[in-house]
Amino acid sequence: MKAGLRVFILFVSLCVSFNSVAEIEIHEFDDPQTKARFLRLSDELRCPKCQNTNLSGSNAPIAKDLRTQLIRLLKEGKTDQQIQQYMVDRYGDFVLYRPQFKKSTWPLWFGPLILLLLGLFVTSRIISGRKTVNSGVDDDMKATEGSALSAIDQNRLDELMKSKNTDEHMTEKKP
Amino acid sequence: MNAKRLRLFLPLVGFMVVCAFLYRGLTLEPSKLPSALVGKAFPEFSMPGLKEGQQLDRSMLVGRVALVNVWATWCPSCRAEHRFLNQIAEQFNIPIYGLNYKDDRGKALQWLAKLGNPYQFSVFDEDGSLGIDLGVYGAPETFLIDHNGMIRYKHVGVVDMRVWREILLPIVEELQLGAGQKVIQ
Repeated sequence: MKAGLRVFILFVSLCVSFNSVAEIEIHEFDDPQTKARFLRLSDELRCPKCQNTNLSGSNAPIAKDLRTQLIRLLKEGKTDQQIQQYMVDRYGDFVLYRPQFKKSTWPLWFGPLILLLLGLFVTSRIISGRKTVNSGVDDDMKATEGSALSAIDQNRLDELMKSKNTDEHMTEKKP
Repeated sequence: MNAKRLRLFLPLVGFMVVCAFLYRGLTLEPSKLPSALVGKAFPEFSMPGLKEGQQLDRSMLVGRVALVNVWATWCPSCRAEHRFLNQIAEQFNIPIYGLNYKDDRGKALQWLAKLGNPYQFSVFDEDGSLGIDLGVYGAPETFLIDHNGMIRYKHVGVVDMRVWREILLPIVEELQLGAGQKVIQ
């Protein structure tokens, strides 16, 4: 029992981890709006060194420097757009997670929509095609009347049916 | 062949398109970003040099076609690159300026004393602010500037013989011709 309790405590303590190693940066802001803007901008700007992490989530030295720059720009009273432009001027469009709306980014903005429309179009074509085939099979009368069988096949079928009928007659006579 | 038959090839075509994208992806290097500064003027700065008491600014870089190399002692690939930079400084008629990026002055001076100094001078960018203005996100990076101080090319990573011969040297020669400078070599 005691051993069980120990194992349980060990298990629970292993489940809980503390990020005590992580570096903690403390930023002071004059007002909550600036803080909110800082958080939003550092979420939306990408760390140039680390491919797919935003500034707020990266521990890379360059991300730290850029956060410091971001705070400086905010304190200087720059608008969001000016700050984004500041970053783009230095690091290119890459730093924006939400790309600017311009000619070179049109595929990014419209690509998904075009693919979606294309997909819908193809799907609707396939579905409508399937419907006509199904209705032909469902309706027995139509299937025999319609051109589902070629003339030769139809003749063969008729012959087979005939011979089957005669077979049945014979088996009936037998007993 | 009728249209219905041709439609059977659609999946193959789709597959080939996907393959083309994937094949292209094999040779892409997403970690190398195109520099936003190519075609723009080298940013203004006023900073201490690596040598004690030195004060440097933009005007001291401008005038000749030159290389600006971002380096630091904490950067292992800079050490690999250093020997080749020494070679360029020795053999070619092109000034190399250093940007000592977020480094320790003592260590940096020691490094140059030990490994040789290919730089005309090194800007001492302790907090990395000139680095940010240049869009530096790591070291080594090498900028090629023309005689007007315009950035004409940026190479991210080690400059070695292949990079020098195939990429940098042709641009350098073209720029030097354009500037009426004596072509290197």
